[in-house]
Amino acid sequence: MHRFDRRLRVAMLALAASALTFGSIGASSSDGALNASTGTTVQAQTCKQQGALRYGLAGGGVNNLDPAISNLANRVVIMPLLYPSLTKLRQDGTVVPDLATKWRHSADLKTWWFYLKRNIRYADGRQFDADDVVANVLRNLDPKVGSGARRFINDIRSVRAITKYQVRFKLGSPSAILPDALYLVKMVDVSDVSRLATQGNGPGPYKVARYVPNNTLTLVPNPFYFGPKPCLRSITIIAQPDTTSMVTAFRSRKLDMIWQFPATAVSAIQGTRDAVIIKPRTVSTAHVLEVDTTSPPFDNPVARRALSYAMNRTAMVRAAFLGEAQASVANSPISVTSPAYNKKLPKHTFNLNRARQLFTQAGIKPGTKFTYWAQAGKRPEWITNGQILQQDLRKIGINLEIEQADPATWVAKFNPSPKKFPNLIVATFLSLQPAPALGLSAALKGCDCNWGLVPGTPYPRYYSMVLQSLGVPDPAKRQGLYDRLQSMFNQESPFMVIAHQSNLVAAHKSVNGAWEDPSGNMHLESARIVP
Amino acid sequence: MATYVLRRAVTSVGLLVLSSMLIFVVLRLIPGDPTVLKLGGSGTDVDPRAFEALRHELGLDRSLAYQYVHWIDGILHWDFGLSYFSQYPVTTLITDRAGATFQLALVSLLLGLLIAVPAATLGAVWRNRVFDSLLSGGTALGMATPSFVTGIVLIVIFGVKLDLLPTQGYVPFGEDPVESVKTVLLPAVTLAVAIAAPIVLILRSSLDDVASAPYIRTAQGKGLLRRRIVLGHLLPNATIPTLTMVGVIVGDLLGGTVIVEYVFARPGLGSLMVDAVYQRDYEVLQALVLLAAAAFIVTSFIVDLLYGVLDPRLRVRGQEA
Repeated sequence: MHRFDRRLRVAMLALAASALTFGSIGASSSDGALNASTGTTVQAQTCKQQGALRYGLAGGGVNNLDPAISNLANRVVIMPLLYPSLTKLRQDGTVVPDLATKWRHSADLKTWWFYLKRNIRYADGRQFDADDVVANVLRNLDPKVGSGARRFINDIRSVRAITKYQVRFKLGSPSAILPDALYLVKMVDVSDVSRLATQGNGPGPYKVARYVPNNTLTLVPNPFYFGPKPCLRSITIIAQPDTTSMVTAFRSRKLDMIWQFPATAVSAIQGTRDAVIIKPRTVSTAHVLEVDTTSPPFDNPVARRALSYAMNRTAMVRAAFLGEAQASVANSPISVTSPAYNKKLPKHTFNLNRARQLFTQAGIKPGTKFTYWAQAGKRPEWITNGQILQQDLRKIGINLEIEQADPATWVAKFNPSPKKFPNLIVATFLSLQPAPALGLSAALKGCDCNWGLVPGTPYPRYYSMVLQSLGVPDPAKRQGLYDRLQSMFNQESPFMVIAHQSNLVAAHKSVNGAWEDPSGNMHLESARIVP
Repeated sequence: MATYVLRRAVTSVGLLVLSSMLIFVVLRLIPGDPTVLKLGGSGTDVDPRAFEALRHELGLDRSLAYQYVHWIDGILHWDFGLSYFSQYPVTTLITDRAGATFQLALVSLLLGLLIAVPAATLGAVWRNRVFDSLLSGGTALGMATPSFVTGIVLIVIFGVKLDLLPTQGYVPFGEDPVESVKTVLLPAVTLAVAIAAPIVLILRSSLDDVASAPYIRTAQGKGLLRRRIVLGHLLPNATIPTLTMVGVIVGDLLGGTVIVEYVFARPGLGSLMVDAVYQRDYEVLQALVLLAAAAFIVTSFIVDLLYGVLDPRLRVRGQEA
């Protein structure tokens, strides 16, 4: 008996050691899902396929099935259902294997090996193997494709299929968080890219059954899916003309679930019988204000700090988000709910006297006019934020004119980079990644401010610290770097974070197993409808 | 008559060519670039090479004249290009969505005429009575109320409160006739109200004019039944001015009933147009606007021909000219 116990202990130790060696071993698809009604974890289980989920999306709907070129709605709503990655996010923002079974890295963190599951097939039945991983990574690295994932993986110097089920990555500099970055590389069938945008073929739990661009997309279970069989007979994503009609359709039970409803509808949703709001455990996405840091007056960090002090974030969260957001009073891209948040950051607490003093120091005199640039119709909370800022700036003699435009006109004002937009304060939403280093790197290139182009900014130092943080495996040391990066961000304020908030999602209680990860991706892989 | 038809046909083609040029140039003057939107929405950190590659792929790096000629050449071969975003052929997108618009247009036009013609006729027959006053008030209300307001009221009453009819979507008639009728009913009534009001106004006034014509007095003097006078003489002669209005309405409906389709989340040409505007999807947008212009031109051509058929005097005058 004792011998058996000892053997068991030795076996457990060996398992733990191999887990440490491989960096991470995850229970890939059975890490559970949140029950919308109770908040408890539902373990993946076999189930009878039943129920058709009607899922409302406000705005333009799904306009393309290629994950490399897709809008926010496509990325966070559709992609987890069609295109998994080598890794996936858990509810706390950490990554676990998905298409991979495990990974390991060299001591210098510059070479990584990923091992694939052997039973993966695309929705059309074709086998998925290491060559597909290589093709997908190379496609995302190709600058001509314009993939949003590129900037997180562009340090990959080579990617090679070692065997049919093993891939090797070589990096230019050490990275401890390559699995976090690879979560953003969605695996698609690149053998026929021309059909990807219209037909979408991936190894995910669901496949495309019917697609009317910008209108409806019906997904049905992928019979070749490697994980537990999906429980829903179908998921139909239905474009909604606007958020008001989407909420109305949801309340009258014509939709089972809605994505990105406005905060102003929170009380109406809460007052709806058997409806629940699905929230992620932590949030990394943020509403921010961007300015042109390459042109006067906001090329001066003092002017940016002045604006930050003039922002009454608490009032904004209360009025625009109805409390459903975490104000970033210290102006950090890391959410206050994240363990990586630097609690010692100096606060940019709303202080108009301080703002006036800093504006004067930056040469911005009373009577100066700025324009608050927002999108029309889509984000009412941005307008509320603009109105609050307008009232407060008026008290110190600065005029803020609020202008709204359709998405194409809105984006054309400041993009493509490098475009000058002096005196413009742009309201926008950043899909920051949960891995702190990736979130902090947004200050470099993630915003449209081209911080790095301004001579005299601490950009090179910030950049080298971000790179350094990627290569530090020790969490305590890494946190030290995160703290310093946040202090620099707080001081320089390359953009102003109002609050961290995820896209608001509501479901009827009959929808079980739906959950949202910290970067706002909706997970319906294990969702089912309980009559 | 043949000369008249030929002349009108040539004018229509000329108008269509002019419209195509105007549409092509004006759309490109609107601020906004589809490549920026396609490469990541707010376009954060997109490599300039990606923009260049996409502009080249879409042909946006060529001169406007080249792009126009290329577009027209495609149209002559029934190829309207590909949507910049969904990558679907524009013809597929339009044919996929045309059913929803045509069904709505047909049902709402029929409903509108079924409301307007009897109402205006009864108003003329029962002049200065309660019904006539109610009709005047109703017409003013119908003209003044925007379609989206009528739509929202109908959604709230029949969709939300009474839960009798679906408020969204489209089901092809061939797929499920009952569901198809149910989904078209609320948007069709919304449009029918908007259609009926101006028709009542014009038809009612036209009926009044015709009622005082000598041949109507003669018919009354001959002792003809009022029903025969109304249906045989009054209504046919009062229809001609109304025809112009119906022509404009039909052209409008075929071009896509933008607001109503949007309010009822109906996947028709109108909602396709709204999405194309938002995304600056030039290929889709210019095809739809051209289609709308063509619908107007063809409808007015048909209406012109119908004038001749309905009123022999116009036919003769045309021949004399």
